[in-house]
This record gives sequence, C-alpha cells and structure tokens, in this order.
Amino acid sequence: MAEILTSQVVSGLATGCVYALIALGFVLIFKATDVVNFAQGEFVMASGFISYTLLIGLGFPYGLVLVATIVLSGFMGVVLERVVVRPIMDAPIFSIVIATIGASIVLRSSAGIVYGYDVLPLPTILSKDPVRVGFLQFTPMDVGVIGSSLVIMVALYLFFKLTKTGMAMRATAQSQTAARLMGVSVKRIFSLTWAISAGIGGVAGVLIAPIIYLDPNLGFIGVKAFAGAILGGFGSIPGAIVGGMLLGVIENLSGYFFNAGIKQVSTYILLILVLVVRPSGFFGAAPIRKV
Amino acid sequence: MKWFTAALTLLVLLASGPVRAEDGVTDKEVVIGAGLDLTGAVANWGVNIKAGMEAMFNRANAAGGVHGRKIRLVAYDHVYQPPKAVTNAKRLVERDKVFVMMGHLGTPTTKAVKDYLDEKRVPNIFPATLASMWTTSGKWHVGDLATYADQTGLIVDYLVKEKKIRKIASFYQDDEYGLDGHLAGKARLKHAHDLPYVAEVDYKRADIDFSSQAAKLKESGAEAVIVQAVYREPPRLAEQCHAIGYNPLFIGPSPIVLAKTIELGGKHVEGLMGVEVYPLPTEPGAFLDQYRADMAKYSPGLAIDTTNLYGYQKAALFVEAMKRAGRNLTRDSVLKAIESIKDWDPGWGLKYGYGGDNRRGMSNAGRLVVVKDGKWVKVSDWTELKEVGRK
Amino acid sequence: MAWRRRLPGAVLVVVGLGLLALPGVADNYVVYVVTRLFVYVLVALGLNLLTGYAGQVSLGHAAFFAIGAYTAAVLAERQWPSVLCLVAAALFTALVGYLLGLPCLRLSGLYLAMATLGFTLIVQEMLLQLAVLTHGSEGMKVAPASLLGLTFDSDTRKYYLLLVVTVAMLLFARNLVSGRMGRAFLAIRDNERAAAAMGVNLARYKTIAFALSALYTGLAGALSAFIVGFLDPQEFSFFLSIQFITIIILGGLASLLGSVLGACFLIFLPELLAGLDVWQALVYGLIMVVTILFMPFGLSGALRRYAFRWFGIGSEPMIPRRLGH
Repeated sequence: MAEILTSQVVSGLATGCVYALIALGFVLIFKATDVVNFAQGEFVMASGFISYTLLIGLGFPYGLVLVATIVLSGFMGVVLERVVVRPIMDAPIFSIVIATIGASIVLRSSAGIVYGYDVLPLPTILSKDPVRVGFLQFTPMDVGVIGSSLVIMVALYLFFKLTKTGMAMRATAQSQTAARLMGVSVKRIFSLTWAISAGIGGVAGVLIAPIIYLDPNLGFIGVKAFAGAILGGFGSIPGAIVGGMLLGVIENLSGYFFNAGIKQVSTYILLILVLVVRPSGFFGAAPIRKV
Repeated sequence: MKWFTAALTLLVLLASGPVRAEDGVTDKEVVIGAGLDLTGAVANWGVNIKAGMEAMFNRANAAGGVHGRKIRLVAYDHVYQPPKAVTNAKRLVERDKVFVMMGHLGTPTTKAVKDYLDEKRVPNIFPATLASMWTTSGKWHVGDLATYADQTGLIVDYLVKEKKIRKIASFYQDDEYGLDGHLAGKARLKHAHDLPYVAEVDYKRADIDFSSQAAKLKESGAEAVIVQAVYREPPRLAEQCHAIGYNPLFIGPSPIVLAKTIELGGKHVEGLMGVEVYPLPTEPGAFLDQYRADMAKYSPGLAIDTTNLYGYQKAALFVEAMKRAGRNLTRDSVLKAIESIKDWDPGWGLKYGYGGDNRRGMSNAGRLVVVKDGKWVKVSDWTELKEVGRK
Repeated sequence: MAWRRRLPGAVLVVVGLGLLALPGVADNYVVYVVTRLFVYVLVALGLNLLTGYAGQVSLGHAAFFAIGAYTAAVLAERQWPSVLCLVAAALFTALVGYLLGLPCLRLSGLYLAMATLGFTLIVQEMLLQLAVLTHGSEGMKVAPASLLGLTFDSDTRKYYLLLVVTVAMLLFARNLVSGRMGRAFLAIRDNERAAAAMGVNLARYKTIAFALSALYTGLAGALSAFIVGFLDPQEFSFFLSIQFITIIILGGLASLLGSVLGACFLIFLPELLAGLDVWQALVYGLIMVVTILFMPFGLSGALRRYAFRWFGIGSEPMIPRRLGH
C-alpha cells in the first residue's frame, strides 16, 4: 500500500511540476501586464510539435532540440505579444483576453492543419521503467521531469533576484510608471516577459510530450495549470509553483481513492473551498486596492 | 383576363406537383452526406473515414460512376458535439439535399440526429459507431459490422473458456461508447459464466494519466483487463501498469486495433489482444490491394490503417448496393438493395450478408488478433459472434 | 435633423418585420439557425447583466445553461406541461445562481473566474453522476414543447416561440438596465467601495445579478433542450462557458445591442465558414483576433462610434481608458 501511494505521489509530483511550469508562465505575464494569456497552453502544445519536427523530422540531437525549442517558443511569445497584445494594450482587459483566446484557436487549428489531429508519440531519452529504492517507487522519467523543472525554477529565481533585467522586470510588475521613471523600457520588458513565459511553456512542452502524446488539443492542459496557479495564489510565483504541484498530487490521489469523474473535479472542489476561505489562494496576498 | 389565365396556369402546375426526383439524386449525380468529427476528440477516425470513403467514390467515379451517376461526398465537422451534429445534419438534409447519411461518426452525435433522420426519412447508412442500437433502430438505420457488445461477448468467452482466466477487470471510457462493451461484458460474464468483474475502473475520454487506475487494477489482482477504449489509452495504461510491476493480459474491441496503437505503445503493447471485425489493412487479397492502391492515389499523405479501411469498406458496400438498385435510384430502392446483399465478398475473404429485420447489419463476424513482434497478427479465424445484450 | 433621431427606431422596425416574416421567405435551415441565435442572445443577455453591467466575471454560464436544460428535460420526461417546465427551469437555475453568488461575494476578477469555472466543471460531472435523473452519458431525449394542444415540433413554430420569448426578455432587460438596478450594477462594476459608500447594498445587488443572470441562461438552456431535442453532458463544458464570454466581449460589454451582435457573430460566422473543412477553425480564430484588434470595445462599441462619427446618431460612446499602474 505504501509503495502504491508513494508512486502515486511521485508521478503526481511529476505532472504537477509540468502544471507548475505552465502556471508560472501565466503568472509571469499576469504580474507584468495584468493579462491572462489564454494561449499559454497552446504555447506548450506548439513547442511539443516543434520539438517533434526538430527531433524526428530533421533528426537533430536531443540537446540541440531542447535549446532550439525553447528559443523558438520564446520567439513565438514575442510575436504574439507584438501582433495581438501590443496594439490593444490600452483596451479593457477582457478584450485582450479575447485576443489571446483567438490566438489560441489559431495556434490549435494551425497545428491541426500541419500535423493532423492524429496523436504523435514523442520519444524520450529517459526511461519510463520503474525503479525501486526502499519503499519508494518511481521512474527515471519522473525524476527527470521534477529535476528539470526545479532547475528552471531556480534559474528563474536567480534571474529575477540577481540580474539587472530581472530586477527591471520586477520593477515593472510593481509599478510601470516608476519603472519608466527609472529608465526601464517597459515595452521591451513586456516582450521579454512574453518571451520567457513562452519559453517556459516550451520547456513544459518538451517535458510533458513524451509522457502524454502530442495532439493539437493538448493545450487544454493550460486550464488545469491555471487552476493550480489560482489554488496557490495567482499573484505570486512560489504560489503558482506550489499550486501546480499540489494539483498534480491531489489529482492522482483522488483518482486512486475515488473514480475518474471525481478525480477530475476534485481539484475544482478543493479550489472553491480554498477560495471561499482564502479569496486570494493559499499564498496570494490580498491585493491592495486603491479606492 | 390575363391575371386569371396566369393564376389558373399556376394552380394547374402546382396541383400536378413537380416531377420529384429523390433528394440528392439527379441524372448525373448522387450526393452523400457525412457528419464527422474532423477536429475534435476522435478526429483521427473522422479524417480517415472521410478519406477512405472518398477513395472508393473516386474509384467509382473514375469508372464512369454508378449507372451513369457520379458520387459526391459532402462532409461537415461536428467536433464530436451533439448540437453541432444536429445543425450539420439539418444543413446536409435541407441545404445540400443529400440522398443518404453515411458513416455518421460518434455514438452520442448519431443519437442526437437519429430522430431527425427518421422524421425526414433519410437513411442512416453504416454509421461509424458500433454501438448496439444501430442494428435495431428501424427502417431508416442500417449498421455494418459487429457491435462492441457482441465483440466483448467474444472476448469474455475467450478469456474464460480458452485462457481459463476467471479474474477479469474492466477498464472503460465513461461514456456511451465505453459503456456499451462494458455492460455487455458484465452481462455475459454473469449469465454465461457466473462471474463478476473483479474491478470496474473508468476513465474520462482524453484523460492522459492512468496511474491511479493502474494501481486499482493491480490491487484487484485481475489477470486480464478488458479495455473499452480507443487506440490512445491501451498504450498508456499498459505503460503505467508495467511501471508498477503489473502485467495482466490486455484485450479490447475493434477501436484499439490500429497500427497507431503499436506505434504509441511500443514494447508495452506486445501481447495486447483485440477483436477485429474486418481484415487488417496489411493483409493480402484483391480487395485490399485495390484499397491500398486507391489510398496511395487519392490520399497519399495518410498512412493506411484500419481507420481509413473502415470508411473504404462502407463506401464499397454502398456502391454495391447502388449498383443493385439500378438506374431507378430512390431511398427505398437502395435500402432494398442493401437488404438483398447476401454472401457478398468484395475480395478479402469476409462476406457481407444482411442480417434480417431484427438485426439490420451487414456482418456479425469477428476474430481475435494479438500484437506480436510489433504487428497485429490473427489468433483465430472468423467466427459469427453471438448476440450479447447489455443486461 | 429629425431623421437622425428616428433612424435607430426605423432600423428596429425593419429588423422586426424581417424577423416576423422570416419563415415565409427563407428556407427551413435558415429558420433553424436564427432560432439557435435567439437562444444565444438570451444567454448573452444574462451573462452581460452579470459580467458586463455588474462587473462580476463568470465562466460558470455553461453550468447554468445545463441546469436549465436538464431541469426542463427531466420535468418534461415526467409529463409536466411545457410552460411549467420552462418556468421551473428558469426559476430553479435562478435559485442556483443566487446560491452561487453567496460564496462568490468575496471574490473578484481572476479568482471569481476560476471559482465559476470550477462550478462549470463540477456541474458537468454531476450531470454524469446523477445518471438516474439525467441518463448520464447515454444522453437524454426531449420531446418538443407543447402549449394548449399546439406542439412546437416544426422549425417554424420553434422559431416563433423563441422570437416571442427573446423579445420579451430583451424588453425586460432593457427595463432593468435603464432603471435603478442597472445603475446599481454599473456602480458596483466601476468601484465597489464607492458604490457601497453611496448606499448600494453590495451583497444584495451582486446576488440579484447572479440570480437574474442565471434565470436568463437557465431559460435559454430549457428552450434549447426543446429545440434541439437531445442533451449530452459533454456539451456543457468550460469551452462553452468560454464561448459565452466571447460572445459578450466581441459583441460589447454592458450593451444589449452587443449581446445580440455577439450572438450573431458566434452563430453566423461558423455557418459562413462551414464549407471550409479543416480551415474553418483557423479562419474563425483569425477573424476573432482581427475583430478584437480593430474593435476592442466590441461590435456594438464600434457600431456606436461610427454611427456617431459618420451619421451623427447618438453620441460618442464613453471609452474608459485603462490606466497603467
């Protein structure tokens, strides 16, 4: 029993890490620009397909594929920001959200046209065979996913804390006006934010594609990640991460104890309960609203 | 006076009624409608069924059509959503004036349009859903192949009688498709063998993670798991079961018998068993050679797989029916023609025969196949499946 | 110039006459499509009341739609008269809306969106779990509505039924928004604290907004059940909720005209694109993006602006600018 539970928790953590990465992407854009990017899930999907083409279609080695995918995803993020978001930056938030929804439809249907709606398997270098250590049971794939996610998160943390650009981004997130006054090019920061967000989505795509199969409708995972982000507190980065991981574990455990249907909604039930008690999520700070 | 003459002429014309040709049939053309999922949950089937049907129709058209009429297929995408299916059906029937609806994909989606097609007296020919209801829905519906329920009956008998397995679990999609086979299997186990499922584990369509289901199956100690799923799930389930050291026999109905399943599952699906209701697309034979040639010619981008063969054989059956109906093509005449088909082998060793008014289907044969060395291989010969109800 | 003032009214009259005459001049299929349009207009009206006017984001409207549809279907199965089915469905959904509004009082923005989204998914799952009532994944058939011996089974009859109901609910909504309630909603949307300070009872009006919104959407769902004739739980997904939100944003928030225009966009555009096969979704997405880029305030906002600038009708719509922080 213990080993079944631990394997459930570990694989839950692995999926949870991917949710966390996607959630991170949402939160970064939101903090900097107040926009919820509905196309975030599609970034993940698109980068999965891009890595497929690079790996299988062009035969690039795995390491190069990883780097190239992240770069191309980042580029995709910038393009989206420039074409779809920048022109209506001053419009009501809802409109920008619709623009991202439209973009997500375009991305999804483009993938469908190019790759078909069939499901594509993406090979992986890490094995999915189980490994036993004491009462723990997991797969190298799980470890790889958790490991890479943690590396990315730490890297981002250091980036924000220590580099000049990272600080500029934090400044912009706090107050655009103040940042402008300090000489920060807010427009460039926005592009950079979208690029990083999309890039993280790219990593998530490469990590998750071998676990689930690639198909244009994969982007719907974004909704789950979004829920995880909210669970943890949407305004905060550690919140998004914890929320995502928590989501993965809860899903797995409730799937084990109940049935498939309950598994799917367990997160949302939990979410509603949490929101009723703490309207800003576990870690979110109550937003200070100026009267 | 002029007004009077005009009005009188009009009245006479109206009263005599137009010379009505059947909807969808003109001198030169027959229009066939299809409501398919082209971009949604089962788009793989929709796109391939369409390609398969078109390949066959193109072949018939290249030979001058059937009795001088070329066949035109009009397909709309319902994205596996019943309301869209209804709208599309209306568009096909009332705008495009199709002769028949063919290969309508999806169980809930076809259910949604059933009453409408009945009302409009548009035949629902060989819908792309092997749920039990389509062979017993009356005059306007004709199924083609063995149903999921009957296939599961074969599976259950095989497991208990030949493999001597008594601990059987069911892993099923929690919707109408999965339930058809799941409930039939349960009934067959109980009535014929006095056994229950040791575990009943469901999953949501498009779910990607089955680690909790795998854990539950392992706990139940089932030696065989019947998977009421499509090609996506068995690979993943097998992989996750193996990851926790659980190696049951996996076996399921026709929708899992795809080359795609092997492509996705790799070594994990070695030993996976399935039921097929028509020959594999890789087998030799005149009809299959023709199919492979047509697919290469008309849809070179698509890999040959059971999904497009599924559409191709539907079209082949219907073209045969149209030939038998003759030049005077009406909905009634084509239905009668279908009902007249008996012992007809298009050239692949499997015969079609109308099952009678109590079972409006064209074949109730099935046989077991297994994945061996990365390929589907037959295990038994064609048998007539027993009819298994869901209770 | 007098004609300027009269033009909107004249347009309305022409449209009205056109709608009345439609079944006589257009084919059955068009009539069916317009009937579906009316259903979506009702939903849009409801959602706009809550999200556009009262400022409470809701991704939960697919659930209200479902509750209305299934309530009516379940009652109809038990031989209740159709009118009662419709009324009961609408009122029950309104009650659920009210109950949902209570815990949501403390939530706003994203969190509210997420909670309502969660509501949609939970309701969808419950539709499956309560299969005893709803027939679960088998789907549920609904016989056509009937009133005093007249059965609404033809497309034309369904059309007129919906036309009447939609116009009535449109007028009702118009009354609401131009009255005290409408003003209270707008006050809440713009600044809750200021509204409270001015004596607007936040809790009361927010829950009323939820209830009214749910009423409209539940009614729409019930009517849709009678129109389409078949219900399946998987239609009532979060994707449907997103579609509803798309309608009111593309159409124009806090605008009755916007509700209508947005519904037109969502219903007519796919029809025009139907022949495009796999390209349909792509073109649809592109049109959506282009539309919002050029008309960030929705179709009604753009219409109002150009009606003013080119013809001098009405007045320049007030565009609240989002201030950077």
